[in-house]
Amino acid sequence: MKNRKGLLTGLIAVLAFVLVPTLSFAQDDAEQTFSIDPAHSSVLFRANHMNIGYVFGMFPEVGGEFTFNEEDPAASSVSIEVEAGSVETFVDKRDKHLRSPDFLSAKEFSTITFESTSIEQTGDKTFEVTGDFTIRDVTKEITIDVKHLGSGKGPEGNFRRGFYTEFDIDRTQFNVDWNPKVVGKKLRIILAFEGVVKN
Amino acid sequence: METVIFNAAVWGILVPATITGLLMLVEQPPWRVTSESDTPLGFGWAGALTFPLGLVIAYVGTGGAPKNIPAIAFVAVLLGLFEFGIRKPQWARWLVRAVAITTIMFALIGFQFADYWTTLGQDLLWGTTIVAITALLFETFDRVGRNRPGATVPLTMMILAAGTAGFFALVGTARVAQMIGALAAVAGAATVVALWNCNTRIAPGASTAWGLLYAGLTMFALFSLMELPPLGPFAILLVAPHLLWLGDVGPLKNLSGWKDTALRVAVVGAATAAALGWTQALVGGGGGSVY
Repeated sequence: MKNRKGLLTGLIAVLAFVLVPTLSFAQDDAEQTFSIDPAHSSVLFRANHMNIGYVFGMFPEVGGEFTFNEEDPAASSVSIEVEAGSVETFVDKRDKHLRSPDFLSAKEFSTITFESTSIEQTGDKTFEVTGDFTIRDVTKEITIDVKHLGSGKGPEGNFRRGFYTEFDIDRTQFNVDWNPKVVGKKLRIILAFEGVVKN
Repeated sequence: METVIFNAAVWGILVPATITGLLMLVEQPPWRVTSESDTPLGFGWAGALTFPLGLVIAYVGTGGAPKNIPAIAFVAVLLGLFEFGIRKPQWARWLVRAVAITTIMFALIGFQFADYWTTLGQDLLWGTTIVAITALLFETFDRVGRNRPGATVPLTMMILAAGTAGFFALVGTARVAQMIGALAAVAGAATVVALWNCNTRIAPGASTAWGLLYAGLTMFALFSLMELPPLGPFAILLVAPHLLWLGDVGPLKNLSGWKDTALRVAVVGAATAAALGWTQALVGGGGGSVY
């Protein structure tokens, strides 16, 4: 009898040892935090030139993080930060002008940010993300459609998730209002980002 | 495109200049017979009010930069009216000037202190240098304006602001260049009125208000660019207004009337033109020409 009681106690101890970390891992796995991987993330934009054609540009320096909760997507969040001074259209003189007070005033307002305030799942892999978008010193609430592209382990063994969105903004609403006759007011923003899970 | 040029010409130049001219005519009607000794304070309150007002009109009409122009214009009006009303004691004038310069510069280029000048030593060095440069600008215009009636000072202001606007347009900030151009426009209006009545004077009050706006916009343009513009030409622009003193040196101080004005304006104009030409050679064309 004494031996059976000891065996039961040992069994409970073993189960506790095995199950507690497993349950804990399951909870972590439901909501994971990711660091945005700049090497596999792109912020592109497209501007209309004098109603004649399009000019494309990009911001190579992007960072931030997001949380993703598979069981409750509404509990997820995303925070993205872009270095305004990294703007690149592959024409040096134009890039300097874009960084100047005529456009981004990148030295005065060094980052462009997006902070989500609510997320709603709209389809199997699609989400409607509402958040505060800040350019220069102007913050506006915008809602964008975001697609979950995929997930999996990268070559270094870290778990990754990737997302994609395209949306339009009126740059003049953000005090980026230099000469709309030459550079169109409407900008198409194309954002693709991958995050690496944090340990 | 035509609309943009129209707005810049009308709201950035014509309207500010017209209002400036009218207000100055109200303060000191040229058709009223005056003598040099009757008009020691010509363009005092009118200039102090209308130079900043002109800048605000240009800002609202053209959507200029930086965003806090109305606030700096308000400080410039207060400083200008204080200078107009208070000549003594000197220490009070300099105290108010120092407060005004510090306030404006911090409002305009405070981001430099926060993010780029990372040590107290850098803050003090740059802060003191900028305050000293602006104070020197005040002193030059104030002294020459009191001693020299007529168009000498406003014409110099116009040339200087036009050249500085051109400099910043070349190195890539059209918006701020446009605002400095508005300062050239209001100085141009003052020149016309001063030519009409050669006994009028631009100092005091008006010159400090104008100087504060000019110095503030210039420093904002300089430090808001990601890369510093060519420092050689910029240094010439900093020195240019002080060449006004040349008319007080040696035998040159015996020149009278239009010869004195022509000499002073010519040296300031030549320096400004040299700065512009050098900049053009270095950067090779307008900052916005890629569009």
